[in-house]
Amino acid sequence: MNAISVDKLVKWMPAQFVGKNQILFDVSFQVPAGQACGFVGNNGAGKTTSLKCILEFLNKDSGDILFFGEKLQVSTRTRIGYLPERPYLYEFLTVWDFLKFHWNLTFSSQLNFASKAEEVLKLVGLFENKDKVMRKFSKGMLQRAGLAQALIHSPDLLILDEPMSGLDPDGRLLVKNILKELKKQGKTLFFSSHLLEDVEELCENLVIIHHGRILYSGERKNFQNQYQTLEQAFAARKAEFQT
Amino acid sequence: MKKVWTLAVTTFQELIREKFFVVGLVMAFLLVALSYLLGSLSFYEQTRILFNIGTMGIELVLIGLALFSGSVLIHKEIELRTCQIILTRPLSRTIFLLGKWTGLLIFIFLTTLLLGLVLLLLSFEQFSNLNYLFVLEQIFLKVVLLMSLAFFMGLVLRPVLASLVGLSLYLLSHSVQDIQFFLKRAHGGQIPDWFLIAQKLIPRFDQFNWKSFYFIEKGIPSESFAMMNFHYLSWIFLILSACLLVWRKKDIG
Repeated sequence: MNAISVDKLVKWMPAQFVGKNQILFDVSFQVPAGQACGFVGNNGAGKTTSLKCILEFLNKDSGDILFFGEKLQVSTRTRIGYLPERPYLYEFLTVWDFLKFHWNLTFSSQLNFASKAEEVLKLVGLFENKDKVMRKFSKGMLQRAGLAQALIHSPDLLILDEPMSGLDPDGRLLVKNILKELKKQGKTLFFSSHLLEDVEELCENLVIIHHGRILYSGERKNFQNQYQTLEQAFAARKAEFQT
Repeated sequence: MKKVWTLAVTTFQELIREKFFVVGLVMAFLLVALSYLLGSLSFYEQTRILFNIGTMGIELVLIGLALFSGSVLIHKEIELRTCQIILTRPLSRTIFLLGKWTGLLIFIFLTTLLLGLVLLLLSFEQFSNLNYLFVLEQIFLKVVLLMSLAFFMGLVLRPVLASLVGLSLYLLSHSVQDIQFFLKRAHGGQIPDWFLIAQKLIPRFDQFNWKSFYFIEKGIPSESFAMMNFHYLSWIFLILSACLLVWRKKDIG
């Protein structure tokens, strides 16, 4: 079963002055459930726009998007956790209150909140700081607080937009380890990145987007094939596309 | 309902931590203090001056707070991607917007109450009149209407422009009778049709401008009070409905 299935997604955006520009051209790909999938492309390739269309923050012009075989509805959203690139997380709250805020937006009862929040905060390594206001957090800690928010309702699918961007090597390692742990738990991971080594390390599947078009969608090993690194394979495929 | 409340409480907590709120409060206290000082210069008109200047100060500061916070709130949520996280939760866009708007409403309500109470305390025993509450309510509803307008404009325009639209409406609506007077003079005693239509398309703040000691002392006719409530609440409902329509289709990000 596919956790995400995108079929012929098209998006036009208003140009700076007059008219419209097409940003996404018949984007189609699948993310198999229970696996990790990297969404790779250069800056401006259309990764974030695709994610925003998939999660209905942007209205798509055409195309079909399914989550676990059904259209995105209020009930489907309980199965999805999302973290955009460097969001503002109401930093006047403690990370505990922040999680409670998101819990209240998801569930009608407070039952199980404390145990779940403790579990998630231990996973992301913030349990010791649970009563600290997030204003005092470092960038890496904020990113992990964001991850905790995405995990608080035990989603089956985790969508992350550039989860490692802007982090120092230690922060990146911490986030990578969390993602590896989530993979072990059987969660589906779908994350955009332009850091190919992270994708190579974490993902079995790969979706490559270039100038709003899908260059590849499938198993990473098949794509990498005769190349030693993902970076080499990516450069070769881009050159092939441009000719 | 619980989700709306959760969002409203967090929005309120966020707003009272903003610097503009502290600046607004300081300005309000200064204006109220000024009205007290000016009032104490006069022996007979002490209470009149205190309330005339005090209620005006309260209204001006509340309008500043409402226009600024109303126009910035959603814009900030979109710019900083906070709303993306919230909207991934199992809640509709309508709930999100109602939650944010309710948070603003609580913010304006408590600020009105606080400033109104300060002014009342400054009057000591010189004054005990329920009409003061009605005057405060009129100020509150007017400010909520402008806040809702700034909130709506903030969905389609940049915050500065949205605030300016709100401020323009406030000034224009208070000047309808003056404009009418000049137009009548210019058109030989006749008011042009376009003006008669235009004045029905905006809220009429000039008709319910009761922020003076006269109305506190003499009271407000119950018919006028009911009319004011109906007029302002209808406009607020209309603007909020427009907000929901725009927000449901808006591209976020």
